[in-house]
Amino acid sequence: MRLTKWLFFVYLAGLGLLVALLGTSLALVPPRDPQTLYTAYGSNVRTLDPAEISDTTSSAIAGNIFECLYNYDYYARPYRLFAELAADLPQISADTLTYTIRLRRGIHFHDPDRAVFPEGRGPELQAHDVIYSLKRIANFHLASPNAAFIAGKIKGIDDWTRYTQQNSPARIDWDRPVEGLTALDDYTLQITLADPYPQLVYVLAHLPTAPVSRAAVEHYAERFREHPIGTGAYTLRYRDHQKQQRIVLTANPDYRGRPDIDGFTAVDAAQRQPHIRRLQIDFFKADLPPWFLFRQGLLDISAIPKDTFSQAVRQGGELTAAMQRQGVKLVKAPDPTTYYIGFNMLDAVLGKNKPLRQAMSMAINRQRFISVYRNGRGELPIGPIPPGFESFDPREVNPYARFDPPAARDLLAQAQQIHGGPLPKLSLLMSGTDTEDRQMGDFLRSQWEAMGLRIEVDYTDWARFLDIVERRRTAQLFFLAWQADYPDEQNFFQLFYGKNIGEGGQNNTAWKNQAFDRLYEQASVLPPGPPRTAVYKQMSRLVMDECPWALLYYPSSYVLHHGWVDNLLLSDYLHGARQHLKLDSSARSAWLSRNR
Amino acid sequence: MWSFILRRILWTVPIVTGVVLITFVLFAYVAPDPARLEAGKHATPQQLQKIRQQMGLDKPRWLNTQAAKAVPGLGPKLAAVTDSQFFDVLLWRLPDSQHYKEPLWSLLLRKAPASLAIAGPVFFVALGIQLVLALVAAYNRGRWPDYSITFMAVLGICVPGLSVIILAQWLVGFELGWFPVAGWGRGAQIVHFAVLPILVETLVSLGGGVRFYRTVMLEEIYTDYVRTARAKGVADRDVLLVHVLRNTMIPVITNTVASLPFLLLGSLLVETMFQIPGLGNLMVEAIGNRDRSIIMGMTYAIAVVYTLMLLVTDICYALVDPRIRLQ
Amino acid sequence: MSSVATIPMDPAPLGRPRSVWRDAAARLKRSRLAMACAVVVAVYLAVGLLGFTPWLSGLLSHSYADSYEPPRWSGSVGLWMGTDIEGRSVLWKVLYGTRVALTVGIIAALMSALLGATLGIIAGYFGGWIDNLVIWLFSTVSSIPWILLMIALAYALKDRELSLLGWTFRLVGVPTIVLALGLTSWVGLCRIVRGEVLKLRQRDYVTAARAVGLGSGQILWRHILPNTVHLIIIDFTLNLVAFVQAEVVLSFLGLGVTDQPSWGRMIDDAKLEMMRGVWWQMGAATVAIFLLSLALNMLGDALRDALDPRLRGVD
Repeated sequence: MRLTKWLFFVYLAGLGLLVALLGTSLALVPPRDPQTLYTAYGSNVRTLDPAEISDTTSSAIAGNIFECLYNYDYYARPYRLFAELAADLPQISADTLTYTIRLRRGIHFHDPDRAVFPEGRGPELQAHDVIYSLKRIANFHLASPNAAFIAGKIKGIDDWTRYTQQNSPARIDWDRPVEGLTALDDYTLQITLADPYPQLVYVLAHLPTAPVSRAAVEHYAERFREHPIGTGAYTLRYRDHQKQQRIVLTANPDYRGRPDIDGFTAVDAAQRQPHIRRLQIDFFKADLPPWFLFRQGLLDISAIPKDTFSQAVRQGGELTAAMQRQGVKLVKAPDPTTYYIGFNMLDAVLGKNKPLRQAMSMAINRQRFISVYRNGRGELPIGPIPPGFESFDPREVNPYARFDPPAARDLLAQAQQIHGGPLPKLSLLMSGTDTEDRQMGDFLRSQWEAMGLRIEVDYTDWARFLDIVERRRTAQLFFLAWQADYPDEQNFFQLFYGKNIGEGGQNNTAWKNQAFDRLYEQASVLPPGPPRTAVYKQMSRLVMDECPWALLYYPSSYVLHHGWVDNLLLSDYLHGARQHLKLDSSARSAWLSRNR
Repeated sequence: MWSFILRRILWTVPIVTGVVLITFVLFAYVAPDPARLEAGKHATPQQLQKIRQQMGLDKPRWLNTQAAKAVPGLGPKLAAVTDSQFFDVLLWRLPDSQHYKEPLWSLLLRKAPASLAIAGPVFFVALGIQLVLALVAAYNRGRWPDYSITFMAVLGICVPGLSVIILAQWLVGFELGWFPVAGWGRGAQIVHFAVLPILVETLVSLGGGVRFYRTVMLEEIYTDYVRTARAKGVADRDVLLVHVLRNTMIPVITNTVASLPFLLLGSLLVETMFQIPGLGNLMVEAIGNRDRSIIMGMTYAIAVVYTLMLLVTDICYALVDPRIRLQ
Repeated sequence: MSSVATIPMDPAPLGRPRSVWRDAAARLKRSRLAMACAVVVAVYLAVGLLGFTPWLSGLLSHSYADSYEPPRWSGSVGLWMGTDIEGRSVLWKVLYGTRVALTVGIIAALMSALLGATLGIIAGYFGGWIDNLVIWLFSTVSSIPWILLMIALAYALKDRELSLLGWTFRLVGVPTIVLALGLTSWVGLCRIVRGEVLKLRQRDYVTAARAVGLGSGQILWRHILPNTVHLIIIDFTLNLVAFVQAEVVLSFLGLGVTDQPSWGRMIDDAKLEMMRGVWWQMGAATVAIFLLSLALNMLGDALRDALDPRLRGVD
């Protein structure tokens, strides 16, 4: 009996403790550090080794720590490259196969944990570091998702990859020369290509090609992905990276102050970057909690969750009055992305029936799609190339990307004739199973069923989707998007090139068109300029007419920030964007005390 | 009795093997190739090959006869033939998680506290409330306390859990703003985020527990010896607490102990809806990512813990219940 | 899972099952609550059948509004429970959802009952290695986290083609869930039936039947099976409830029905909708599930009380 009484009291005490903890938790609000910018991130940082990076989160973090030979100007639109670690734009030989690149001087690596470089400041960046980093990407054992950017393009790189494959990681001789990568001297690098590749300079502005310190890689081996040692404006100490909880980036004391100078040029204090000394990025998987924190002023920058969109932005794309009164600012920019429905050209019904594809494309009410399902965050499509590219012409007309039910019905009649009878049930594959995917699937199905077609929609997860669409190629219709890696239309057109069909190739629709292929090869040797743009326009035209894609829309990004954050611009390709931001911390404290 | 215990211990081996077998078959033959998912936007064939190598997928599925042929001697041959995917799993030779690029152990240890932070209090609070309510209901059988409690319990079972979660999130988190809608914090902040999930999960699980314990207690109350005790004039409260409660402890313990490993897996619904970085969430993510190490590793671990729990309870019975001892 | 058996009440001789049924039916009819629940279940069944008619399926795609519309009592019937994002009527969706829920529930529960009862009976009756095999099987299945089993099975069965009785159908949506649920939920019944059969096996009349020379098949059919039917019925009813609720969880995980409206889908979609103030889809589906679960639960309890021989002496 007494035991029971004791148990009961212990139980009550336990409950009491829980309630007390509860009470204290309600009062906890951490103070704001005036030197810190507070933001959130939503998915796991998988690696901070540039060579391995392929997801946007890792890219966003590592982009502040590492620099590349080239980078995109923060302010210039259309995008323009400038020389970041290189001293100037490359000298290209007459046959466009040889690129000679001079490096800036006085740029050093920084080790925040002082494990590899006890002084913190490491050796100067030199040409052999760049070569080493490129060779790492092509190392078989790293299985880098970025190998495709240089595989087959640089002379001798495939030999190198084969060599690494045949030897175990411990036995690889990293000093083994690669024919196309030579250091003319400590500060001059020469890259020789196997075939013309005008996009090479974009590849050298792509974060995965950021030079890394060989000493650091050899010291950390596989753990290098957790110990980034770069030359950029920020640095990440090991203990500041709490996985899936918080990342704190601090200003790199060895940074030269601006991305477009060498290490010896003086920079005055007002211009010195990074302006904000500390970045605290908290992990929130769900999108609503960071939104509430943003509303309370505890986060400085935020994306807008879909469900609360109307709280922030009115119809028409402007901030609501409530938001404006809070001093919140909206930044929006079109993404270099196109959403589409892919038609599997290998399919017996769709492949040879152009009127069917065109009809299906004209049956979709894209305006409704954008306004109801996307909060109006997007533009009607014209061709496969979205805005932001040279060959994009907003006045161009693509009849097959318009919502035109009567014309669609006519085309359908033609399609039936070609097929020789009533059309069978067609199946659409969506790449996810959650509410948004189901709503979109329902929407598309209702649009096509209104035309008299029979559609079934299948939902699957991303892994299986890739398997079915890319490897097995058994999906008839599939919903997908492509986001450009660099500001050159070629990045889109490679998805239509005949030689890119097959495993590892990007041509998911298996569309093959001789005229297109000829134009593609023609453009691949032209430097950027009006002649190339003209060819690109022709290629777009072909894709629009032949309809291997039913274009859906071009999305835009909407980002909100509080009034005390200055100089925030959205950039699709730029790495190291945070160093340009400015923070007025007294304005922030004032706002917080007013709105407590 | 010792032979009984020994038999029970030996019995765990085929069960765990069975679990590994079923899970392995399901994921080896059924799930699509995970390499492509890990390879990113621009996958090359070499990269896919290397990823498969890293995940141990380039080995034969069941028996590596080829490797065995190349090696002399029985010992080495045995080692070589079991260098296959199935034996890798069975012998816990799991590579690092492909998605997190972390060893399985550190991942599990990192995620367990979040699940525990929810499961622990829920277990504690829910069990207490369930027992009290069930006792009151059982004791007052046929009268209004019983009816109202049973009715509420049935109500609780019949409302879909997902609806309760969504409603709670919207009402308490969004409209009233008392607690965060979802997410997780650090250090002391955890309490702030944990309250709503704990409350919701307790609420959802009350109904089933009350009903189950009430039934068990009813069986106890109407047994002969309890009737005898009451007839003898022993005070009701003593009868209740001493006899009934003590004897119901056995099925209660069985029930709770057997469900413990699954409790740790976290109510998947709660963890996913509240975005709690616990083991349940990890499992769901791993299935989506086709992360074999996590899937196989966690299933294996749970099966082992579960069978061990059952073993422990059965041994306890054997020690306590003379009838079993005599078998 | 072993349980401590209480001292059993001496049951009435089970050699004459028919009087048990009449007994049970009479007791059921006496309880007005149980009758009311039976009526509710019957109504649901009727609505479910309605879902198979082209009338209801046709109404589903009719668009009543441009997008979300709150419930309105004036105007057309379709707007009584509001509309969804495409302007389709929530009322028709909820009614149609009955078809999906009951199809999934009934077929899966039947499958589960068949598997569980069969395995339980043969394990309990024949003993020996068969018994060990069945015990191994259900111990293994119950050790695997349910979620893992469901998802893995759902993936395994998806996109496979199955030919049955001349019909070829792709396993998508309802068939997949039915199979996944049916193949994983038989364990409970199996254990209970096996326990019961173990007890029945000892009965005098079984020994007598064997002595007389009746084959196992006949014994199973005439003596064992009828005395386990009450367990099967109760388990079936409870499983039905569980499966209707499971469909909600499966939809949440992305494994539910995707090509037709279903209650689970409506609740799952509510995750996003509630923040916009759209409560009517979730409300309608939750109420529908709640009433059905309530009715089935209470009916199941009444059935158990009516059929369970042990509690008969307790009333």
